[in-house]
Amino acid sequence: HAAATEVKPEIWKFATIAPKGIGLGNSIRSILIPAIEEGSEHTIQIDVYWGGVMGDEADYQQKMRLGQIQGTGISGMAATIFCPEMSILELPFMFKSWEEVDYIKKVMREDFEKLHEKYGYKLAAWNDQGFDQFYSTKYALDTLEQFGKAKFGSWYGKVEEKFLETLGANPIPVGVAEAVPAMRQGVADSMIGPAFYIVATQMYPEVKYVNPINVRYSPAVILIGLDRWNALDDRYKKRFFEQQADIEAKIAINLRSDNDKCLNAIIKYGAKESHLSPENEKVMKEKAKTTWDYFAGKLYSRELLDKLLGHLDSFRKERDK
Amino acid sequence: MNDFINGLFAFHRVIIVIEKALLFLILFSMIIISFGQVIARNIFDQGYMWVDIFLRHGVIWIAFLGASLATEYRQHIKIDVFSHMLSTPYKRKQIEIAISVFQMVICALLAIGSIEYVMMLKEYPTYDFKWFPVWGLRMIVPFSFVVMIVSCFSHIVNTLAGRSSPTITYDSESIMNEK
Amino acid sequence: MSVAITAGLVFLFILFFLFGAPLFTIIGGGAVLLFYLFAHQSMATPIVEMCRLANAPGIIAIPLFIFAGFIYAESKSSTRMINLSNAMLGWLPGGLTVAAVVVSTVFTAMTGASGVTIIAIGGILLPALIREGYSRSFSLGFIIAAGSSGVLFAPSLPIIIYGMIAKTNITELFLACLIPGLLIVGLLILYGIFYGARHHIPTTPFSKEVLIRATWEAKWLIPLPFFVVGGIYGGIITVSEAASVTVSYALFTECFIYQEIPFKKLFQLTVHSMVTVGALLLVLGAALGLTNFLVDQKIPQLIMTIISDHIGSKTAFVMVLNIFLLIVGCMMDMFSAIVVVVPLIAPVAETFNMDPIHLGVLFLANLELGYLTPPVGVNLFVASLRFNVSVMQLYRVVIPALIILFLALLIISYWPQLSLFLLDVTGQRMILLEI
Ligand code: NA
Ligand code: NA
Repeated sequence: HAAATEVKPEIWKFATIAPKGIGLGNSIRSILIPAIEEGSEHTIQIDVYWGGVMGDEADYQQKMRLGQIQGTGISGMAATIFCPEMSILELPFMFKSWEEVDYIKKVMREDFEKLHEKYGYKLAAWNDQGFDQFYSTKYALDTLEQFGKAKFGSWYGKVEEKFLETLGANPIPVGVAEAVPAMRQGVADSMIGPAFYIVATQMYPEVKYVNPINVRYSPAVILIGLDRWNALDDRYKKRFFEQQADIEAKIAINLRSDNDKCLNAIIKYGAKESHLSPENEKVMKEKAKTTWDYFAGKLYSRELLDKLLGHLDSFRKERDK
Repeated sequence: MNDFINGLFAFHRVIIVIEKALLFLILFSMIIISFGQVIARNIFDQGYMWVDIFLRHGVIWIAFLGASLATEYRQHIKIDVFSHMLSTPYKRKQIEIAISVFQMVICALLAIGSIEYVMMLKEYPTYDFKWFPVWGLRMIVPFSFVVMIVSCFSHIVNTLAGRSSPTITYDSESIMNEK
Repeated sequence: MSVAITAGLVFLFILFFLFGAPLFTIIGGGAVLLFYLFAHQSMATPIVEMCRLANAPGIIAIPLFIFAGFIYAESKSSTRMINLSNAMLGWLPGGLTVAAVVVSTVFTAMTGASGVTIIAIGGILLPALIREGYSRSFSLGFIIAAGSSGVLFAPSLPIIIYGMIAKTNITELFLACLIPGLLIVGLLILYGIFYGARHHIPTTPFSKEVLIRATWEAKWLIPLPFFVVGGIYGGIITVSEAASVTVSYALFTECFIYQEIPFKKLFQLTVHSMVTVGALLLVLGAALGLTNFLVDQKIPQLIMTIISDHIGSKTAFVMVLNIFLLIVGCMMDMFSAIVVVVPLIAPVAETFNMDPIHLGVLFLANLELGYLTPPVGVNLFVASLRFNVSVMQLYRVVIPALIILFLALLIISYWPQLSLFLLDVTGQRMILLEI
């Protein structure tokens, strides 16, 4: 006999393409959800629609605006769908290490929270999918000439297309769902992506070479509709903020180690590790920088780019002292 | 009132012709662009991201333009369990009118839904092509549902007046009916 | 919402469904009202789903292949094809049905099973079968069934997507699907030969001269399958691009070489074929909307929970699973079914010690049947649009083929070794990398 006074919790629906048990999905389930549910004294219950049953990230954006779902967990390119300025973080060779990422997260957190708010989202957690690497079924990708020959399957959008162009590589435009068939079939022979993706899509038996250079940083964020967040009791918000750093640290440990595990597993499975010569690497990084300028004023403001580069510069100077 | 209806139907006929022309244009641009992509990639080692985006918008346009013409020519998929049992043409006529009214109502609901959808896209516009917003491209959805409403209305008026509505026929029908 | 209004609306929709209102009004209108009145959500929600069609895998190939099918069916090339296959297989009782099954299977495997086979191939084969003396209903039923028999062969897109979602090895799935796929193809071929022999469909003695003449007449058609099959398996073109190559080649040969299609005709063909595309995609889009309502309300979960709570034995589970998947196949398209249903059934199947690879074969074979089952049966719809035959009539003519496919399904379901045999023979079962 349920008591008549028992209050039904408010249900927040979350959608993610991450499957339930692994990677980002696991972190959402075991760390984020309990934090919000307990933090709200169970007045909020989170129902997650895992594994893309609600469609892809572009659909989540529309569904959030229509109010069908209240939150989402997304990574990589999808983060730029919700907040185009996030592409500044995903520029090729912007970050060299996790220390740099962590520093920017600390000093520019507020900037990115404000940007998300501009589009109607609360940046509930800012985590990492990892760093993306070069993978190929055909070319070692250890010289710049090899990049000229490779056919890169690409669905990552304008920045990646531009970057590949500057390398002289041929981007093969593929739909997200068709990327894997295209690689298996051989229409495309190379790609930039996280190790996690190569494992999850079973591309690793096909992959012959890995160039494990950190091509680009790939964030994983959890967003809540701003209206829902604002309507939340201040007590619950405060409690959530108190835990936030802890939650993110826990998720970060999980996700970063997951990605490293995947990369090691791919190499152990038989993919050959390849490296550019230091001169070639320098040339490539210089070329990549032209994309940073190219998209300033298009995807993000010039000021944001200057601010980010300024922070990175001072961090590097401080560290090298 | 009659003038209004006649004017509406004349306008509708123009819209139908425009829809057909658009279908032709879109289909052939899709064929040329996608074939061009095959050539460009295999012979000139070039690939363009906008091709895939263009083709996907093209499919949406074709789907909704085609569906709106399918209403005009009553070529929609239907599962007709009972109506062939109706004995008299009079009863059949009544059923047909009832179905057209039902379809008008549903298309109106879908039109409202798709207008809401376009408004939602318009709130934070995105651009797949340089200056043309995605919500503009998606206008085809409410547009085609509204054309469907007029098609149904015109069919009702025709049926009541004992006129036949426009039809579409396949040449292969003659082959099909040979025994 | 009050019970009376709900009951009234449900009754109204069923009534209109049975009296032949367009299916999209039933499914799409149902989705809008369910979202609005029952889930208290925006009426735009099902529209988002309809527009998701544009991101469906292989969707671009649909209008292009359908247009190419219309071109070939309307030109004299269909006669040329038929003469050629007759010259090759006319000596065999039911020879043309064998050709029909083989060609349709290869085409479906490559095009990702979207129903376009029936338009592209069926548009040519159906008139041919009827001219040869096969009854109209047999020919229709046969073409429709043959149009789904490629689902179980590499590089079929449903297998790849199943493997990624269910986290089973795709290469092993290809291998495991091979014998069950051949079983279905074999049974269909036997059915065709048996029918041909019993109904005394005239056979023609094999003649080298006739074959050479027929080959020469069809010389512009013969390269196409090699371009397409070679292009796809050779890694030169994607499936979407294969559609574009096919339609470009068809336009080139029919408009410039044979000059059988004048411009005015081409314009008509465009309109006719795109009306077909529109009618088909609108229903598929509406079905996505309704599927999303079921997902939103977690109804598939609910059903799976009930099933797993009440089933004790593996045999019973397989039986209930078959029924459940047949119902799913009646309502959802194959890709939604894989994304929505597979994550639900895989863990339950594991508790019954079902081999995950066998589960995959069973799942795909089940949904292959879904192409032919009412109310949402893509192959039936495509055939209805293309051949101007009512869906009701198609339900009837497809029954014999459906019985044969159902028989195959039972064998596949209860004889796991049929699927696993090749894996055992070829050696180790590969274990996927853990994440
Ligand atoms: Na299909
Ligand atoms: Na079905």
